[in-house]
Amino acid sequence: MEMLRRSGSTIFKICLMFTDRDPENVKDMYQDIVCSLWESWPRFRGQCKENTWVYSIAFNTAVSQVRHRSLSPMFLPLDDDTYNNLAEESHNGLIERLYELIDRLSPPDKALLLLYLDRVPAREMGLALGISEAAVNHRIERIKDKLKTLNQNTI
Amino acid sequence: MNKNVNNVSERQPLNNTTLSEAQCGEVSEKQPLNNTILSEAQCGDPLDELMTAWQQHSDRIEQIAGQHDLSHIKLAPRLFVLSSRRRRILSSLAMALVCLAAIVGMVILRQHYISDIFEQLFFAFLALLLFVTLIQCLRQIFLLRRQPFSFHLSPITFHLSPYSRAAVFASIVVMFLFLAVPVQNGRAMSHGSPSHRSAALTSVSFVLSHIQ
Repeated sequence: MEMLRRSGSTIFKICLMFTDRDPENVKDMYQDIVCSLWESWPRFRGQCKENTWVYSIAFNTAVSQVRHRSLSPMFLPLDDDTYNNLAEESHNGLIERLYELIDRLSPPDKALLLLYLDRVPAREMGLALGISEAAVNHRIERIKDKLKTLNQNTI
Repeated sequence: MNKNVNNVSERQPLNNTTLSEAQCGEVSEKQPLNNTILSEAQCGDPLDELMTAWQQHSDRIEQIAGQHDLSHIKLAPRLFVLSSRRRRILSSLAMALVCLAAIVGMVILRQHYISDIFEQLFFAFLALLLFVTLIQCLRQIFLLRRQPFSFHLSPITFHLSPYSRAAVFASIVVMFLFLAVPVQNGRAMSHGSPSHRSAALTSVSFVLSHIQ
């Protein structure tokens, strides 16, 4: 439970980034990610930092859209107040603009961008995503170029 | 408000990066800037402004996460929770066993019917399905054994849409009908006369309609 508390902001950000910010989709994503973390927690042996591990599991879940809720007797709702606060925050002018650009990226690029925006070190990024540090830096530059192009095209 | 300690402790000074804060004279207290590449031309870049706004957005989400009440969460005992990957392994194994049983049954019962093209097609189909399910099973076992924090997108997935599944099931039923439905002279459908086949199909339809 403490791990869930510490990882709350990371999970919320992934839910907002990998969905269309629709209430039901965000809540579904939140429940799936927490379920995955709960199931995978016993296998975490400290091979990396806890936050890196959370990123990895959450990204896997978000990308693969695992739906095992019907067979997992858990109750992990995202309450309406929390969702409303998140929705209000995500509809801030500039942030809404950023989400519109992010929606056009592929899931792996979204995952890498979130880690970059969260100032995660390149080494931890590589560990979370299973790629080398050099590949991380190269792909980040490519993503930034892509976002710049998308931003200029839509202005 | 709970602080996300891990996030704060992991944030590193940004080295060898292009930053909007430095370019526009705004430096975050959390991230001292070392060896940054500054470009006057990039000052005011809309993309950099968006990234700067993300920092405030992230701080606000941390506040919301701190206020999120987790006390109502009910987590089931882990013993009763099967990971999705383990479930896929079990379903692949079950499907493989069914295929294997069907193949063995056909081999045993071969003496009781005339082998023809339909029987061979059905046999080939079962063998192919057995092969594919075994490959899927081995793949899932390999993925389960892999380091738990690895992140890989599966490049190939054997996933049938509902319509495809219905078509596969209908094909199996038709092949089975031609193979196994008896006709008056004791031979399989494929060797029966048209009238025999239509009579057999009529009786099968009657049975299926009652089953529904």
